[in-house]
Amino acid sequence: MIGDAKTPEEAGRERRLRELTDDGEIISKVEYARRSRRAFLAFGVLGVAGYAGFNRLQNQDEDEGIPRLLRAGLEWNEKVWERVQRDGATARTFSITDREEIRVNGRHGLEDNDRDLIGIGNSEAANWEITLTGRNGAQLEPIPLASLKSDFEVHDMVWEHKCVEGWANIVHWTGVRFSDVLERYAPDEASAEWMVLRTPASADVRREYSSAIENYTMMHHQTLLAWQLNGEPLTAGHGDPIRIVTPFKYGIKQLKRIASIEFTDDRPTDYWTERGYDLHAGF
Amino acid sequence: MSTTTDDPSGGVSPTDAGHDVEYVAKKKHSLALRWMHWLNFPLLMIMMYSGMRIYWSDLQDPYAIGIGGWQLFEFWPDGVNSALQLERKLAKGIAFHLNFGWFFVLNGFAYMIFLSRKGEWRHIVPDVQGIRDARKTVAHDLHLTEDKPVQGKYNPAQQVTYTLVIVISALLVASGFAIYKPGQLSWLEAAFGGYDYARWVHFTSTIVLLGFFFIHIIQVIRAGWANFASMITGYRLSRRDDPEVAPPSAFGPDGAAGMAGDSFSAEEGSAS
Repeated sequence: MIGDAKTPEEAGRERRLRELTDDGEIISKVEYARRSRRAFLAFGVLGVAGYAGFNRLQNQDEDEGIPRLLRAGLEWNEKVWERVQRDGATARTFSITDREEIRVNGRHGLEDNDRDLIGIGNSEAANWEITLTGRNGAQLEPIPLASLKSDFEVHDMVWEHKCVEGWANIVHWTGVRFSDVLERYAPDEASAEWMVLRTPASADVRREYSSAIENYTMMHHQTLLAWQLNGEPLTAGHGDPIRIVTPFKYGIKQLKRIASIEFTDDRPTDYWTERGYDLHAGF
Repeated sequence: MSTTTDDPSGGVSPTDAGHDVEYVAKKKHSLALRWMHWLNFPLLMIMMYSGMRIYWSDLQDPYAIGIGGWQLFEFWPDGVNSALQLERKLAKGIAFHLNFGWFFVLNGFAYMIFLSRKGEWRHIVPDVQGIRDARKTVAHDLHLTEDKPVQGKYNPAQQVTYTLVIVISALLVASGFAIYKPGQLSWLEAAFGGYDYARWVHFTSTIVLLGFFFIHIIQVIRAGWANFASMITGYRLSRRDDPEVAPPSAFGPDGAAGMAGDSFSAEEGSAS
Protein backbone atom coordinates (compact mmCIF):
# COMPACT_ATOMS: atom_id res chain seq x y z
CA MET A 1 0.00 0.00 0.00
CA ILE A 2 1.07 3.61 -0.62
CA GLY A 3 -0.05 6.86 0.94
CA ASP A 4 0.03 8.29 4.44
CA ALA A 5 -2.06 5.68 6.26
CA LYS A 6 -0.57 3.98 9.30
CA THR A 7 -3.45 1.72 10.22
CA PRO A 8 -5.79 -0.42 8.16
CA GLU A 9 -8.67 1.87 9.12
CA GLU A 10 -6.75 4.88 7.81
CA ALA A 11 -5.87 3.01 4.64
CA GLY A 12 -9.52 2.22 4.04
CA ARG A 13 -10.40 5.84 4.70
CA GLU A 14 -7.68 7.07 2.38
CA ARG A 15 -8.93 4.81 -0.36
CA ARG A 16 -12.48 6.06 0.06
CA LEU A 17 -11.31 9.69 -0.01
CA ARG A 18 -9.27 9.00 -3.14
CA GLU A 19 -12.20 7.26 -4.79
CA LEU A 20 -14.24 10.43 -4.34
CA THR A 21 -11.79 12.32 -6.49
CA ASP A 22 -10.62 9.67 -8.87
CA ASP A 23 -12.21 11.11 -11.98
CA GLY A 24 -8.95 12.56 -13.24
CA GLU A 25 -7.90 11.65 -16.74
CA ILE A 26 -4.20 10.69 -17.04
CA ILE A 27 -2.18 12.02 -19.97
CA SER A 28 1.41 11.61 -21.11
CA LYS A 29 4.13 14.11 -20.35
CA VAL A 30 4.21 15.16 -24.02
CA GLU A 31 0.51 15.80 -24.09
CA TYR A 32 0.79 17.62 -20.76
CA ALA A 33 3.49 19.89 -22.22
CA ARG A 34 1.22 20.73 -25.15
CA ARG A 35 -1.84 21.49 -23.01
CA SER A 36 0.26 23.26 -20.45
CA ARG A 37 1.71 25.65 -23.06
CA ARG A 38 -1.77 26.40 -24.29
CA ALA A 39 -3.15 26.94 -20.78
CA PHE A 40 -0.31 29.25 -19.72
CA LEU A 41 -0.64 31.21 -22.94
CA ALA A 42 -4.39 31.61 -22.41
CA PHE A 43 -3.79 32.53 -18.77
CA GLY A 44 -1.27 35.19 -19.75
CA VAL A 45 -3.41 36.61 -22.55
CA LEU A 46 -6.51 36.75 -20.34
CA GLY A 47 -4.52 38.35 -17.53
CA VAL A 48 -3.11 41.06 -19.77
CA ALA A 49 -6.48 41.59 -21.46
CA GLY A 50 -8.20 41.88 -18.09
CA TYR A 51 -5.66 44.39 -16.87
CA ALA A 52 -5.92 46.41 -20.09
CA GLY A 53 -9.71 46.31 -19.92
CA PHE A 54 -9.71 47.55 -16.36
CA ASN A 55 -7.33 50.38 -17.24
CA ARG A 56 -9.56 51.31 -20.13
CA LEU A 57 -12.57 51.35 -17.86
CA GLN A 58 -10.78 53.60 -15.40
CA ASN A 59 -9.81 56.06 -18.15
CA GLN A 60 -13.12 55.90 -19.97
CA ASP A 61 -15.02 59.13 -20.71
CA GLU A 62 -16.91 60.15 -17.64
CA ASP A 63 -20.62 60.56 -17.21
CA GLU A 64 -21.10 62.98 -14.31
CA GLY A 65 -17.83 62.23 -12.55
CA ILE A 66 -17.50 58.45 -13.04
CA PRO A 67 -16.70 56.26 -16.08
CA ARG A 68 -19.71 55.91 -18.40
CA LEU A 69 -19.98 52.17 -17.95
CA LEU A 70 -20.06 52.48 -14.16
CA ARG A 71 -22.77 55.15 -14.41
CA ALA A 72 -24.78 52.77 -16.61
CA GLY A 73 -24.23 50.06 -14.00
CA LEU A 74 -25.52 52.28 -11.20
CA GLU A 75 -28.64 53.02 -13.25
CA TRP A 76 -29.09 49.31 -13.85
CA ASN A 77 -28.80 48.73 -10.09
CA GLU A 78 -31.49 51.35 -9.59
CA LYS A 79 -33.86 49.47 -11.90
CA VAL A 80 -33.17 46.17 -10.14
CA TRP A 81 -33.95 47.58 -6.71
CA GLU A 82 -36.97 49.47 -7.93
CA ARG A 83 -38.47 46.08 -8.74
CA VAL A 84 -37.69 44.82 -5.25
CA GLN A 85 -39.28 47.88 -3.65
CA ARG A 86 -42.60 46.76 -2.31
CA ASP A 87 -45.30 49.28 -1.44
CA GLY A 88 -45.43 48.02 2.09
CA ALA A 89 -41.69 48.29 2.77
CA THR A 90 -41.16 50.05 6.06
CA ALA A 91 -37.80 51.02 7.46
CA ARG A 92 -36.81 49.90 10.94
CA THR A 93 -37.83 52.36 13.66
CA PHE A 94 -36.57 52.81 17.19
CA SER A 95 -37.73 54.13 20.52
CA ILE A 96 -37.22 57.83 21.27
CA THR A 97 -34.91 56.87 24.12
CA ASP A 98 -32.52 55.30 21.59
CA ARG A 99 -31.86 58.63 19.90
CA GLU A 100 -28.31 59.85 19.56
CA GLU A 101 -26.48 63.10 18.89
CA ILE A 102 -25.76 63.67 15.23
CA ARG A 103 -23.06 65.85 13.77
CA VAL A 104 -23.49 68.48 11.08
CA ASN A 105 -21.79 66.92 8.08
CA GLY A 106 -22.91 68.68 4.90
CA ARG A 107 -23.22 72.47 4.85
CA HIS A 108 -23.96 72.82 1.14
CA GLY A 109 -26.55 75.45 0.43
CA LEU A 110 -26.38 76.71 4.03
CA GLU A 111 -23.17 78.76 3.86
CA ASP A 112 -22.45 82.30 2.75
CA ASN A 113 -19.46 83.14 0.59
CA ASP A 114 -17.25 83.36 3.70
CA ARG A 115 -18.26 79.79 4.52
CA ASP A 116 -20.22 80.87 7.58
CA LEU A 117 -23.58 79.25 8.22
CA ILE A 118 -26.47 81.49 7.26
CA GLY A 119 -28.95 81.82 10.10
CA ILE A 120 -32.67 82.13 9.52
CA GLY A 121 -34.28 84.81 11.68
CA ASN A 122 -37.69 84.39 13.31
CA SER A 123 -39.44 86.73 10.91
CA GLU A 124 -37.84 85.05 7.92
CA ALA A 125 -38.93 81.67 9.24
CA ALA A 126 -42.44 82.93 9.89
CA ASN A 127 -42.75 83.93 6.23
CA TRP A 128 -40.93 80.88 4.82
CA GLU A 129 -42.54 79.26 1.81
CA ILE A 130 -41.63 76.29 -0.33
CA THR A 131 -42.24 77.25 -3.95
CA LEU A 132 -43.53 74.57 -6.29
CA THR A 133 -42.93 74.21 -10.02
CA GLY A 134 -45.30 71.86 -11.84
CA ARG A 135 -44.45 69.45 -14.63
CA ASN A 136 -45.69 71.98 -17.18
CA GLY A 137 -43.27 74.58 -15.81
CA ALA A 138 -46.00 76.64 -14.11
CA GLN A 139 -45.53 78.07 -10.63
CA LEU A 140 -48.01 76.47 -8.27
CA GLU A 141 -49.38 77.75 -4.99
CA PRO A 142 -46.42 77.72 -2.55
CA ILE A 143 -46.51 75.85 0.76
CA PRO A 144 -46.25 78.23 3.73
CA LEU A 145 -44.21 76.86 6.64
CA ALA A 146 -46.93 78.02 9.03
CA SER A 147 -49.45 75.85 7.20
CA LEU A 148 -47.14 72.81 7.41
CA LYS A 149 -46.97 73.17 11.17
CA SER A 150 -50.68 73.73 11.76
CA ASP A 151 -52.71 72.05 9.01
CA PHE A 152 -51.43 68.46 9.04
CA GLU A 153 -51.03 65.57 11.38
CA VAL A 154 -47.63 65.85 13.09
CA HIS A 155 -45.51 62.69 13.29
CA ASP A 156 -42.57 61.78 15.49
CA MET A 157 -40.38 59.17 13.88
CA VAL A 158 -37.14 57.61 15.07
CA TRP A 159 -34.90 55.83 12.64
CA GLU A 160 -31.25 55.36 11.80
CA HIS A 161 -29.90 58.19 9.69
CA LYS A 162 -27.16 56.82 7.43
CA CYS A 163 -24.36 58.73 5.82
CA VAL A 164 -22.87 57.69 2.49
CA GLU A 165 -19.48 57.89 4.26
CA GLY A 166 -20.45 54.95 6.44
CA TRP A 167 -21.47 56.36 9.80
CA ALA A 168 -25.01 56.18 11.16
CA ASN A 169 -26.97 57.63 14.07
CA ILE A 170 -30.42 56.95 15.44
CA VAL A 171 -32.30 60.25 15.32
CA HIS A 172 -35.76 61.50 16.17
CA TRP A 173 -37.55 63.70 13.65
CA THR A 174 -40.73 65.72 14.09
CA GLY A 175 -42.67 66.81 11.02
CA VAL A 176 -45.48 66.06 8.60
CA ARG A 177 -45.77 63.50 5.84
CA PHE A 178 -44.75 64.92 2.50
CA SER A 179 -47.51 62.89 0.85
CA ASP A 180 -50.17 64.53 3.08
CA VAL A 181 -48.88 67.98 2.16
CA LEU A 182 -48.74 67.27 -1.56
CA GLU A 183 -52.26 65.88 -1.46
CA ARG A 184 -53.41 69.29 -0.27
CA TYR A 185 -51.16 71.65 -2.24
CA ALA A 186 -50.42 69.95 -5.55
CA PRO A 187 -52.40 66.71 -5.94
CA ASP A 188 -51.87 66.77 -9.72
CA GLU A 189 -48.12 66.46 -9.20
CA ALA A 190 -48.36 63.45 -6.88
CA SER A 191 -47.73 61.22 -9.90
CA ALA A 192 -44.56 63.06 -11.02
CA GLU A 193 -41.76 60.54 -11.48
CA TRP A 194 -39.16 62.81 -9.91
CA MET A 195 -39.15 65.62 -7.39
CA VAL A 196 -36.15 67.94 -7.24
CA LEU A 197 -35.61 69.79 -3.98
CA ARG A 198 -33.43 72.91 -3.80
CA THR A 199 -31.94 75.25 -1.20
CA PRO A 200 -32.51 79.01 -1.58
CA ALA A 201 -31.22 80.41 -4.87
CA SER A 202 -29.16 83.44 -4.00
CA ALA A 203 -25.82 85.02 -4.82
CA ASP A 204 -25.17 85.07 -1.09
CA VAL A 205 -25.23 81.27 -0.90
CA ARG A 206 -21.83 79.71 -1.52
CA ARG A 207 -22.94 76.46 -3.17
CA GLU A 208 -26.60 75.99 -3.96
CA TYR A 209 -27.62 72.45 -3.20
CA SER A 210 -30.14 70.15 -4.86
CA SER A 211 -31.47 66.65 -4.38
CA ALA A 212 -33.62 64.65 -6.81
CA ILE A 213 -35.75 61.87 -5.33
CA GLU A 214 -38.03 59.45 -7.15
CA ASN A 215 -41.78 59.35 -6.61
CA TYR A 216 -42.08 56.22 -4.47
CA THR A 217 -39.65 57.49 -1.87
CA MET A 218 -41.08 61.01 -1.73
CA MET A 219 -44.61 59.64 -1.35
CA HIS A 220 -43.57 57.04 1.24
CA HIS A 221 -45.30 57.24 4.61
CA GLN A 222 -41.94 57.56 6.37
CA THR A 223 -40.86 60.59 4.34
CA LEU A 224 -41.34 63.76 6.33
CA LEU A 225 -40.98 67.50 6.01
CA ALA A 226 -39.34 67.97 9.41
CA TRP A 227 -38.67 71.02 11.58
CA GLN A 228 -37.40 69.31 14.73
CA LEU A 229 -34.41 67.06 15.33
CA ASN A 230 -34.24 65.14 18.62
CA GLY A 231 -37.00 67.31 20.02
CA GLU A 232 -35.28 70.62 19.27
CA PRO A 233 -35.94 73.07 16.43
CA LEU A 234 -33.57 72.50 13.53
CA THR A 235 -30.33 74.48 13.82
CA ALA A 236 -28.92 76.27 10.78
CA GLY A 237 -26.45 73.40 10.22
CA HIS A 238 -29.22 70.81 10.26
CA GLY A 239 -31.43 72.70 7.82
CA ASP A 240 -33.47 75.34 9.66
CA PRO A 241 -36.36 75.98 9.07
CA ILE A 242 -37.60 72.91 7.14
CA ARG A 243 -35.93 69.87 5.57
CA ILE A 244 -36.82 66.54 4.00
CA VAL A 245 -36.02 63.33 5.90
CA THR A 246 -36.49 59.68 4.90
CA PRO A 247 -34.96 56.43 6.10
CA PHE A 248 -34.76 55.26 2.47
CA LYS A 249 -32.00 57.61 1.40
CA TYR A 250 -28.48 58.48 2.43
CA GLY A 251 -28.09 61.84 4.16
CA ILE A 252 -26.83 63.46 0.95
CA LYS A 253 -30.34 63.17 -0.50
CA GLN A 254 -32.13 64.56 2.58
CA LEU A 255 -31.98 68.18 1.61
CA LYS A 256 -31.75 70.80 4.33
CA ARG A 257 -33.51 74.21 4.16
CA ILE A 258 -35.97 73.50 1.35
CA ALA A 259 -36.79 76.60 -0.69
CA SER A 260 -38.30 74.98 -3.74
CA ILE A 261 -39.51 71.71 -5.22
CA GLU A 262 -39.76 71.01 -8.93
CA PHE A 263 -41.83 68.14 -10.32
CA THR A 264 -40.71 66.36 -13.47
CA ASP A 265 -41.08 63.12 -15.38
CA ASP A 266 -37.67 63.46 -17.01
CA ARG A 267 -34.74 61.92 -15.26
CA PRO A 268 -33.05 64.84 -13.48
CA THR A 269 -29.62 65.22 -11.93
CA ASP A 270 -28.57 66.87 -8.70
CA TYR A 271 -25.59 68.25 -6.79
CA TRP A 272 -23.88 64.98 -5.84
CA THR A 273 -24.94 63.04 -8.92
CA GLU A 274 -23.03 65.60 -10.98
CA ARG A 275 -20.02 64.79 -8.82
CA GLY A 276 -19.98 61.05 -9.43
CA TYR A 277 -22.55 59.73 -6.96
CA ASP A 278 -25.51 57.50 -7.63
CA LEU A 279 -28.69 59.48 -8.34
CA HIS A 280 -30.74 56.90 -6.44
CA ALA A 281 -28.41 56.70 -3.40
CA GLY A 282 -31.12 54.89 -1.51
CA PHE A 283 -31.88 51.80 0.49
CA MET B 1 -7.58 16.83 -26.09
CA SER B 2 -7.03 14.04 -28.60
CA THR B 3 -4.02 12.09 -27.44
CA THR B 4 -4.31 10.46 -24.09
CA THR B 5 -2.49 7.45 -22.83
CA ASP B 6 -4.24 4.31 -23.93
CA ASP B 7 -4.95 3.06 -20.44
CA PRO B 8 -6.46 5.65 -18.05
CA SER B 9 -4.78 4.01 -15.10
CA GLY B 10 -1.54 4.29 -17.07
CA GLY B 11 -0.40 0.99 -15.71
CA VAL B 12 0.42 2.93 -12.59
CA SER B 13 0.85 0.84 -9.52
CA PRO B 14 3.28 1.09 -6.68
CA THR B 15 4.83 -2.28 -7.46
CA ASP B 16 6.21 -1.56 -10.92
CA ALA B 17 7.29 2.01 -10.03
CA GLY B 18 10.48 3.04 -8.30
CA HIS B 19 13.17 2.77 -10.93
CA ASP B 20 10.87 4.21 -13.58
CA VAL B 21 11.23 8.04 -13.66
CA GLU B 22 8.69 8.61 -16.42
CA TYR B 23 6.25 11.46 -15.78
CA VAL B 24 2.53 11.52 -16.36
CA ALA B 25 -0.10 14.17 -15.65
CA LYS B 26 -3.44 13.67 -13.97
CA LYS B 27 -6.44 15.95 -14.36
CA LYS B 28 -6.97 17.79 -11.10
CA HIS B 29 -8.99 20.97 -11.63
CA SER B 30 -11.72 21.39 -14.23
CA LEU B 31 -11.80 24.41 -16.51
CA ALA B 32 -14.83 25.82 -14.67
CA LEU B 33 -13.08 25.54 -11.33
CA ARG B 34 -9.96 27.27 -12.65
CA TRP B 35 -11.99 30.14 -14.11
CA MET B 36 -13.93 30.63 -10.87
CA HIS B 37 -10.77 30.39 -8.79
CA TRP B 38 -8.80 32.96 -10.76
CA LEU B 39 -11.70 35.39 -11.22
CA ASN B 40 -11.81 35.81 -7.46
CA PHE B 41 -8.39 37.36 -7.48
CA PRO B 42 -9.03 40.48 -9.61
CA LEU B 43 -12.61 40.75 -8.32
CA LEU B 44 -11.58 40.76 -4.67
CA MET B 45 -8.71 43.15 -5.44
CA ILE B 46 -11.18 45.59 -7.00
CA MET B 47 -13.71 45.06 -4.20
CA MET B 48 -11.13 45.60 -1.47
CA TYR B 49 -9.58 48.62 -3.13
CA SER B 50 -12.92 50.32 -3.79
CA GLY B 51 -14.16 49.20 -0.37
CA MET B 52 -11.17 50.83 1.30
CA ARG B 53 -12.01 54.08 -0.48
CA ILE B 54 -15.52 53.88 0.97
CA TYR B 55 -14.24 52.93 4.39
CA TRP B 56 -11.67 55.69 4.39
CA SER B 57 -14.22 58.43 3.65
CA ASP B 58 -15.26 58.34 7.31
CA LEU B 59 -12.09 59.22 9.14
CA GLN B 60 -13.72 59.81 12.50
CA ASP B 61 -14.53 56.25 13.45
CA PRO B 62 -11.89 53.82 12.21
CA TYR B 63 -11.88 50.17 13.21
CA ALA B 64 -8.83 49.19 15.22
CA ILE B 65 -7.18 46.15 16.69
CA GLY B 66 -6.52 46.41 20.40
CA ILE B 67 -7.59 45.46 23.89
CA GLY B 68 -9.36 47.94 26.16
CA GLY B 69 -7.63 51.29 25.91
CA TRP B 70 -4.52 49.84 24.34
CA GLN B 71 -4.50 49.90 20.58
CA LEU B 72 -2.21 47.95 18.31
CA PHE B 73 -3.13 49.85 15.16
CA GLU B 74 -6.04 51.40 13.34
CA PHE B 75 -7.23 50.26 9.93
CA TRP B 76 -5.39 51.26 8.03
CA PRO B 77 -2.02 52.47 9.18
CA ASP B 78 -1.29 55.82 7.49
CA GLY B 79 1.41 54.33 5.26
CA VAL B 80 -1.11 51.96 3.66
CA ASN B 81 -3.57 54.72 2.86
CA SER B 82 -1.04 57.05 1.34
CA ALA B 83 0.63 54.25 -0.62
CA LEU B 84 -2.73 53.30 -2.15
CA GLN B 85 -3.75 56.95 -2.76
CA LEU B 86 -7.17 56.37 -1.31
CA GLU B 87 -8.08 59.88 -0.29
CA ARG B 88 -11.17 61.71 -1.50
CA LYS B 89 -12.44 59.19 -4.01
CA LEU B 90 -15.62 58.03 -2.32
CA ALA B 91 -17.84 58.42 -5.42
CA LYS B 92 -15.55 56.27 -7.54
CA GLY B 93 -15.15 53.81 -4.70
CA ILE B 94 -18.93 53.35 -4.54
CA ALA B 95 -19.26 53.14 -8.32
CA PHE B 96 -16.68 50.34 -8.59
CA HIS B 97 -17.89 48.53 -5.47
CA LEU B 98 -21.57 48.42 -6.45
CA ASN B 99 -20.82 47.36 -10.03
CA PHE B 100 -18.12 44.76 -9.51
CA GLY B 101 -19.83 43.31 -6.45
CA TRP B 102 -22.33 41.64 -8.77
CA PHE B 103 -19.57 39.73 -10.52
CA PHE B 104 -18.33 38.36 -7.20
CA VAL B 105 -21.91 37.33 -6.38
CA LEU B 106 -22.34 35.67 -9.79
CA ASN B 107 -19.03 33.87 -9.44
CA GLY B 108 -20.13 32.67 -6.02
CA PHE B 109 -23.44 31.39 -7.43
CA ALA B 110 -21.64 29.56 -10.21
CA TYR B 111 -19.36 28.00 -7.62
CA MET B 112 -22.32 26.88 -5.48
CA ILE B 113 -23.82 25.17 -8.53
CA PHE B 114 -20.43 23.63 -9.31
CA LEU B 115 -20.07 22.31 -5.75
CA SER B 116 -23.54 20.79 -5.61
CA ARG B 117 -23.17 19.14 -9.01
CA LYS B 118 -21.83 15.57 -8.91
CA GLY B 119 -20.93 15.93 -5.24
CA GLU B 120 -18.01 18.28 -5.80
CA TRP B 121 -18.66 19.65 -2.32
CA ARG B 122 -17.33 16.38 -0.88
CA HIS B 123 -13.82 17.41 -1.91
CA ILE B 124 -14.12 20.61 0.08
CA VAL B 125 -16.35 19.97 3.10
CA PRO B 126 -14.55 17.86 5.72
CA ASP B 127 -16.28 15.05 7.59
CA VAL B 128 -15.96 14.75 11.37
CA GLN B 129 -12.70 12.87 11.06
CA GLY B 130 -11.44 15.51 8.66
CA ILE B 131 -12.17 18.26 11.18
CA ARG B 132 -10.23 16.28 13.81
CA ASP B 133 -7.35 15.70 11.41
CA ALA B 134 -6.99 19.36 10.39
CA ARG B 135 -4.93 20.07 13.50
CA LYS B 136 -2.54 17.26 12.59
CA THR B 137 -2.02 18.69 9.10
CA VAL B 138 -1.09 22.03 10.60
CA ALA B 139 1.30 20.35 13.05
CA HIS B 140 2.82 18.39 10.19
CA ASP B 141 3.23 21.50 8.03
CA LEU B 142 4.98 23.21 10.95
CA HIS B 143 7.32 20.21 11.22
CA LEU B 144 6.05 19.41 14.71
CA THR B 145 5.14 15.85 13.79
CA GLU B 146 5.85 13.27 11.11
CA ASP B 147 2.27 12.14 11.34
CA LYS B 148 0.40 13.20 8.19
CA PRO B 149 -3.32 12.50 8.06
CA VAL B 150 -4.75 10.73 5.02
CA GLN B 151 -6.52 12.87 2.48
CA GLY B 152 -8.46 12.99 -0.76
CA LYS B 153 -8.10 15.86 -3.21
CA TYR B 154 -7.41 18.32 -0.40
CA ASN B 155 -5.84 17.71 2.99
CA PRO B 156 -8.00 18.16 6.11
CA ALA B 157 -6.59 21.61 6.91
CA GLN B 158 -7.31 22.72 3.35
CA GLN B 159 -10.83 21.35 3.63
CA VAL B 160 -11.53 23.22 6.87
CA THR B 161 -9.95 26.42 5.52
CA TYR B 162 -11.71 26.34 2.16
CA THR B 163 -15.04 25.60 3.82
CA LEU B 164 -14.54 28.56 6.15
CA VAL B 165 -13.57 30.74 3.20
CA ILE B 166 -16.87 29.85 1.51
CA VAL B 167 -18.83 30.62 4.69
CA ILE B 168 -16.96 33.90 5.19
CA SER B 169 -17.50 34.89 1.57
CA ALA B 170 -21.22 34.25 2.02
CA LEU B 171 -21.18 36.42 5.16
CA LEU B 172 -19.28 39.07 3.25
CA VAL B 173 -21.92 39.16 0.52
CA ALA B 174 -24.87 38.99 2.93
CA SER B 175 -23.53 41.76 5.15
CA GLY B 176 -22.76 43.76 2.00
CA PHE B 177 -26.39 43.56 0.92
CA ALA B 178 -27.51 44.46 4.45
CA ILE B 179 -25.41 47.63 4.27
CA TYR B 180 -26.42 48.32 0.67
CA LYS B 181 -30.20 47.97 1.10
CA PRO B 182 -31.12 48.22 4.80
CA GLY B 183 -34.55 49.59 3.80
CA GLN B 184 -35.77 47.04 1.27
CA LEU B 185 -33.80 44.26 2.96
CA SER B 186 -34.45 45.43 6.51
CA TRP B 187 -34.84 41.76 7.60
CA LEU B 188 -31.26 41.16 6.51
CA GLU B 189 -30.03 44.24 8.38
CA ALA B 190 -31.91 42.97 11.45
CA ALA B 191 -30.37 39.50 11.04
CA PHE B 192 -26.94 41.04 11.52
CA GLY B 193 -28.17 42.89 14.61
CA GLY B 194 -28.32 46.26 12.88
CA TYR B 195 -26.40 48.44 10.50
CA ASP B 196 -23.29 48.94 12.62
CA TYR B 197 -22.87 45.19 13.21
CA ALA B 198 -23.42 44.46 9.52
CA ARG B 199 -20.61 46.91 8.74
CA TRP B 200 -18.41 45.25 11.34
CA VAL B 201 -19.08 41.79 9.89
CA HIS B 202 -18.41 43.10 6.38
CA PHE B 203 -15.12 44.64 7.43
CA THR B 204 -13.99 41.74 9.59
CA SER B 205 -14.75 39.11 6.96
CA THR B 206 -12.72 41.15 4.51
CA ILE B 207 -9.74 41.19 6.88
CA VAL B 208 -10.09 37.43 7.45
CA LEU B 209 -10.21 36.80 3.68
CA LEU B 210 -7.16 38.97 3.25
CA GLY B 211 -5.40 36.94 5.94
CA PHE B 212 -6.40 33.75 4.12
CA PHE B 213 -5.01 35.19 0.90
CA PHE B 214 -1.53 35.65 2.38
CA ILE B 215 -1.48 32.21 4.02
CA HIS B 216 -2.71 30.76 0.73
CA ILE B 217 0.21 32.36 -1.14
CA ILE B 218 2.70 30.96 1.37
CA GLN B 219 1.18 27.48 1.16
CA VAL B 220 1.14 27.56 -2.65
CA ILE B 221 4.83 28.47 -2.67
CA ARG B 222 5.53 25.65 -0.20
CA ALA B 223 3.57 23.16 -2.27
CA GLY B 224 5.73 23.82 -5.27
CA TRP B 225 5.47 24.48 -8.98
CA ALA B 226 3.56 21.37 -10.08
CA ASN B 227 0.77 22.21 -7.67
CA PHE B 228 0.63 25.88 -8.73
CA ALA B 229 0.72 24.96 -12.42
CA SER B 230 -2.18 22.55 -11.94
CA MET B 231 -4.44 25.51 -11.10
CA ILE B 232 -3.59 26.96 -14.51
CA THR B 233 -3.27 23.86 -16.70
CA GLY B 234 -5.76 21.68 -14.87
CA TYR B 235 -3.25 18.81 -14.77
CA ARG B 236 -0.84 17.80 -12.09
CA LEU B 237 2.47 16.53 -13.47
CA SER B 238 3.86 13.73 -11.33
CA ARG B 239 6.29 10.86 -11.49
CA ARG B 240 4.58 7.66 -12.43
CA ASP B 241 5.27 6.31 -8.96
CA ASP B 242 3.85 9.36 -7.18
CA PRO B 243 0.74 8.65 -5.07
CA GLU B 244 -0.86 11.64 -6.85
CA VAL B 245 -1.42 9.50 -9.93
CA ALA B 246 -2.04 6.19 -8.23
CA PRO B 247 -5.52 4.69 -8.41
CA PRO B 248 -7.52 4.64 -5.14
CA SER B 249 -7.10 0.88 -4.89
CA ALA B 250 -3.38 1.42 -4.30
CA PHE B 251 -4.09 3.31 -1.07
CA GLY B 252 -6.05 0.79 0.87
CA PRO B 253 -7.99 -2.41 0.81
CA ASP B 254 -11.59 -2.38 -0.15
CA GLY B 255 -14.32 -2.41 2.49
CA ALA B 256 -14.16 -5.37 4.88
CA ALA B 257 -10.69 -6.39 3.76
CA GLY B 258 -9.40 -3.13 5.15
CA MET B 259 -10.90 -3.81 8.55
CA ALA B 260 -9.11 -7.13 8.79
CA GLY B 261 -5.76 -5.43 8.51
CA ASP B 262 -3.83 -8.49 7.31
CA SER B 263 -2.90 -7.32 3.84
CA PHE B 264 -1.96 -3.95 5.25
CA SER B 265 0.71 -5.05 7.68
CA ALA B 266 2.37 -7.13 4.99
CA GLU B 267 2.96 -4.07 2.83
CA GLU B 268 3.52 -1.51 5.54
CA GLY B 269 7.13 -1.17 4.53
CA SER B 270 6.27 0.35 1.19
CA ALA B 271 3.97 2.91 2.78
CA SER B 272 6.80 5.01 4.19
